[in-house]
Amino acid sequence: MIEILNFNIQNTTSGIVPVSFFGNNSDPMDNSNATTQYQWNTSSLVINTENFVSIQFKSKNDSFYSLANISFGGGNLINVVNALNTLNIGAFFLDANNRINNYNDNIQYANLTIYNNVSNTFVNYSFSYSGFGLGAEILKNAVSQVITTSPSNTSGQFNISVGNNIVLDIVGFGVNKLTNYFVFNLSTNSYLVNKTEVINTDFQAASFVAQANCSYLIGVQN
Amino acid sequence: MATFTPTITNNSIPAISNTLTGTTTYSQFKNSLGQYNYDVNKIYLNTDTLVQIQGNFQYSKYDSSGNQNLQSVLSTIDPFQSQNSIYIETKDKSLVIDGRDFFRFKMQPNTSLQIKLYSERISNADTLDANGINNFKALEYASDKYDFFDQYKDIL
Repeated sequence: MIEILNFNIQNTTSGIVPVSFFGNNSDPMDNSNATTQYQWNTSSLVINTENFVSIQFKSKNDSFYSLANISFGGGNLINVVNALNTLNIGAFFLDANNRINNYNDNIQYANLTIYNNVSNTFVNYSFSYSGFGLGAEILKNAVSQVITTSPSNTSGQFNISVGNNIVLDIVGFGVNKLTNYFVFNLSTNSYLVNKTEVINTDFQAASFVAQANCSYLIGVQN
Repeated sequence: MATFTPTITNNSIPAISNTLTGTTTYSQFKNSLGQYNYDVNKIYLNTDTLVQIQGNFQYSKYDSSGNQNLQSVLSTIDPFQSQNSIYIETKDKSLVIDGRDFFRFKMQPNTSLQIKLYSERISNADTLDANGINNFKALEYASDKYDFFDQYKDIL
């Protein structure tokens, strides 16, 4: 017997939104009826030599963000969005004001970085942790303290040169909290350090020397 | 190089609203897939923005080896499409909504789209009936007592 299934779909935004219907319940590309909006204000961004994009994401039930990065080949923000959509971690789109958007109730997103994976050498840091007494600091060449944070959500970046010694220190005496910390080489797409453990003391979590044409992401999260 | 931190907003209106005519919600429909599958014979699209049905409308299907195959339901982008609605015959495309395969396309800004799927509902129970008589009938035939349960009707 023939049945008629009648779906009424409406795009309420000012952007062209990729949609995916009728797949399984965990399909991250199915943004039907999702109301949680993530918006990255990229309206003033001018893309020069940038050719890669990275994004932090996690399932809403996960504790820690994962990082995905992909080449978009340069050009414009449409290429960035198209590249993000090939990651299958959500449906990204540009609105009329050139801001990147995503609506998703099941996946959570954090920092989005647009960079050149060869010519730019930088450290991008992303701290998202809580816990009384827990802190983190990044040192460049042992003496220059780049960033120190007490429990907070903060992110940013600084430039580095080949041969710079970069150190991530964690201050966690008596904190007793499960925490993830990592150093990710954005150019080779590999982790130098990626550990999850109960932080209960002060220690040097990572130390590395900046290589030619390599940029890094340092993160602490719990 | 630039890093952007997202602004997170809990809206009351979704970016893409997807509702079914009737009392069943889209979420309930999706949860029923697996128990019920839908063999789609024909699709009707109706929109308020012509360009919506001039674009690509893809269907992703997994074969028995687990390979994903993307096929276009609208076989080509038709520049001569001049009406806001279209019927698409899909009988020969083996287009089955089973919770694994999915439609994928782009929704134009501030646009409405009606999708009508003319489909045949398939369930496991249908397969049992199609394969032959039910267990009670089989018991009757096996015992040569074809009217064994008939006497119970009035009492029950």
